[in-house]
Amino acid sequence: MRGGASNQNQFLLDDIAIYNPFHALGLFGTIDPEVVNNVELHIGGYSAEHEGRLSSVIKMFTKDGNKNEYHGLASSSLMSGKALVQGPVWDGSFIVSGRKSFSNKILNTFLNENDMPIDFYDLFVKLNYTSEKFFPNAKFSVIGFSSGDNIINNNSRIADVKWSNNALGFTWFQFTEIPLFYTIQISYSEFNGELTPNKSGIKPVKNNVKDYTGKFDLSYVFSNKDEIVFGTKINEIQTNLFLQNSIGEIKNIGPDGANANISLYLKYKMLRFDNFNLDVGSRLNLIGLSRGGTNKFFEPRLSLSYIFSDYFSFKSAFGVYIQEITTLSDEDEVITYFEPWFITPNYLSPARSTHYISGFQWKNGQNISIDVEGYYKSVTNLPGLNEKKIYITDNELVSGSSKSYGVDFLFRFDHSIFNFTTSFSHGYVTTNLNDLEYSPRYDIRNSLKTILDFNVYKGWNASLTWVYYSGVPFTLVTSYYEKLHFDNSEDKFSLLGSQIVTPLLGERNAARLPEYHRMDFSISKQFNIYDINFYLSFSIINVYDRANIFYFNRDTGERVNMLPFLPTAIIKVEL
Amino acid sequence: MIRKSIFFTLIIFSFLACEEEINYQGEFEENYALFCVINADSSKQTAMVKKKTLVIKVPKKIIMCKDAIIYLNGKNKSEQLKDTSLINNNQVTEIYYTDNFKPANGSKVEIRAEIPNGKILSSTIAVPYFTLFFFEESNLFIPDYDDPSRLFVGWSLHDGSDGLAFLTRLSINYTVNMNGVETKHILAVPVEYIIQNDNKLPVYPQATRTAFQIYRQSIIDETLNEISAGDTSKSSYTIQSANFEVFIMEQNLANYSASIESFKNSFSVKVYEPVITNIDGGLGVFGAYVKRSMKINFEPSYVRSFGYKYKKD
Repeated sequence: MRGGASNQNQFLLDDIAIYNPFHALGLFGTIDPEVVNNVELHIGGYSAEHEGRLSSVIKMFTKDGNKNEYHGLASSSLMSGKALVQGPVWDGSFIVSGRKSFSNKILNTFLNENDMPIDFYDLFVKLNYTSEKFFPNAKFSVIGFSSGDNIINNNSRIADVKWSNNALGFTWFQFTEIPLFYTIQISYSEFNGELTPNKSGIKPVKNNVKDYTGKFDLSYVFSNKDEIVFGTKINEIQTNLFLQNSIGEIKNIGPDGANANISLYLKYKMLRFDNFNLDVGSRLNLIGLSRGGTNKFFEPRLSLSYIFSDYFSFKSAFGVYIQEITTLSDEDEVITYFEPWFITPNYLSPARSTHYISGFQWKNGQNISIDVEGYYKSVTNLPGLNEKKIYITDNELVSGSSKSYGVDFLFRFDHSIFNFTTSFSHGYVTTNLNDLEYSPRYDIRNSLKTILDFNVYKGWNASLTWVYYSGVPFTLVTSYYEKLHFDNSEDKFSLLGSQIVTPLLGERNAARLPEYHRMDFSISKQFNIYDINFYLSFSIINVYDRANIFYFNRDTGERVNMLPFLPTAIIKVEL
Repeated sequence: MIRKSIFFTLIIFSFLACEEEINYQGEFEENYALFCVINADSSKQTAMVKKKTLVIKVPKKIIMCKDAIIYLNGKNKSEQLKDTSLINNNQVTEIYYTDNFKPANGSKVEIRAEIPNGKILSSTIAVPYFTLFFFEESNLFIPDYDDPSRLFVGWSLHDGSDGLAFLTRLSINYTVNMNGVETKHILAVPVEYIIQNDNKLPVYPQATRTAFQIYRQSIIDETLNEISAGDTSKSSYTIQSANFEVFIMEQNLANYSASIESFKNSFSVKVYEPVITNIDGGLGVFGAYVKRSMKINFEPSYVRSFGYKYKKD
């Protein structure tokens, strides 16, 4: 988002970090929308209680489950089936939801042999407890989450990938008579990812992340509506990354030991005025404590908004953000199949970004709103592969920097018959690494998403979505040459040693892949029979069968496209 | 009207649906790679020139360059390399050679190659220079008397030119007697064996700036076992001695060699080898080295414990 790599976006499920929140091909999120209560999207300039990533924070809050009645839901489509049960339990409630993809035999009817089958599952369980008698004004929640994905290709020249997320959390929310409330949470999140090369020529990768977190947040609301918020977080992250070298040896490059951090934050929210809001605060991070680190990092944050009238408002934000975990990938690859997580090594400082954001919203007071927001983001200590590594003792990673800037537009039109929303982003990103300035792979120049929802007839609702992204940068190959390798022959530096065909690449990321665009259509209706709710939906993914690239290997020419034209139907029954 | 709208919509969709080919090949520039490694202990020098190619996917054959005019220019000396063909592993290799160019210690040497199309490849290096080189312990045995768990070989180099690096090799000299015919063999000792898919892969020392090399005795044991792997007639094998060599490389050759070994042995997500070159106008490497070596004797009872014969040479 806004010129940041995917690892710069934090995804939280009830405040628990989920390291890969997407199912295969990005068609589905790992969280079933049926369990989602609300979503907060903080794209840049976010306030002091959010941390850990350079670009954005996406927070998903789940439902507690029905405290009064038992309800069940089951649905099925051509691709997956799901079931959800919720209801009261003791002095609380529960909600359980599970999804599973179906056999690929159905999908293969529509997929050609180059496209990937989808195989995934996810399971969500939440238990809530409240008791005014024993714990007045308190709520306790236990959350469990598990998801898994497999991309198993029919073509052995393409690698297989699988990954899973598992998370467990306990939250205690307490509200007191003084307008003060606090939350205590302990959680554990684990990610496992594995890349199996088959005959692709890629090296195998095995990755594991373990995240142990304890946090405490306290808010006090003044009589004038202002708020003061304080919090602390103790967090230990361990990454294991098994890589193979060219001679077949496998090693865990770790890094050694876990990375424990302590952070504190304090912020003040001025809400006393109806037309002016101010949010000012800062975080203090003590990073790498378990590895002997003594570095302290301040992350100041400021955001304000001013409502000039019912039609026009202005907002602005500034913030400094630290991130001490990254993903590894080689920019020379056209598209990276799998980016493993890796804690920033001790010899590098954590990455740091500074956001400057400003924008306005205009409404006509009825049914049209336009949001425009400009941003500038600079990143320092951005970790990247050391292209100048000569000796094996040279560091694998070096620090670089990046700059991104652009503007986002959001237009909404609400009508009695239809709703129209379009968002457009135009941005630029440059990275400076190894004394080379280039456009990184996530430099998407333009992106557009348009959604048209309309009532068709007698309760049938239709939706048409069109998504467009500019082609992402990649590096062309200009030629090949045979590079002399010195074998261990009697003449140590014999010119008759191994000649290894080596590609020579052109200017880094000077070319662009084809654009991505896709149109989806769906039509649905909800109806009720004998107190049972039915939901019926017919949809077409990729209406005009656009061959969007998912993966391309420059050396073998193997190409994998995303889902082709795919009609599907969903039937949902709710009790 | 509706039919026209549907028709035009379908036309537009058919264009949008086209699978766009990915043109992943950039603009090709004809260029050449020149390889030449000066052995400063010898008057015999060789060079090779290859042409870059651009083919779809990975090419099967790279073109060798014939009829290039290559000169080595040293202190008060200029020598043109002659063109010849060698058969190596059933492949014809074009080599340029001379047996009349021995550069002085520390002197500058230039290589200049003129390709038939007029392109010039050139480079200048300084031959490794130092005033004194000696091994810290000149009377080593395997196993080592002081520490039988390892073999430590250290050396000192005085007043060396900048950027020198070392590559070492420990080799076992032995003979095999098959049906009365004795043949000489040499086997290099790795610093490590790794097991990968039931195969034992040797890992050899890499270029380093540290002036010592350590071999674990267990690895030397394993290498001695490898000599007669699968052969029950151990007494056919006669171990003579070990030879320890230090190749002292100037910086360009050190960087080139180290980058290859580093890429091979590193655990990284890096996909392609780095392109390290000091050739002006092209690719490849021009470097130089000198070699120092010493003999390391075996303890006779140690050799015989493997079932081999021992004969000091």
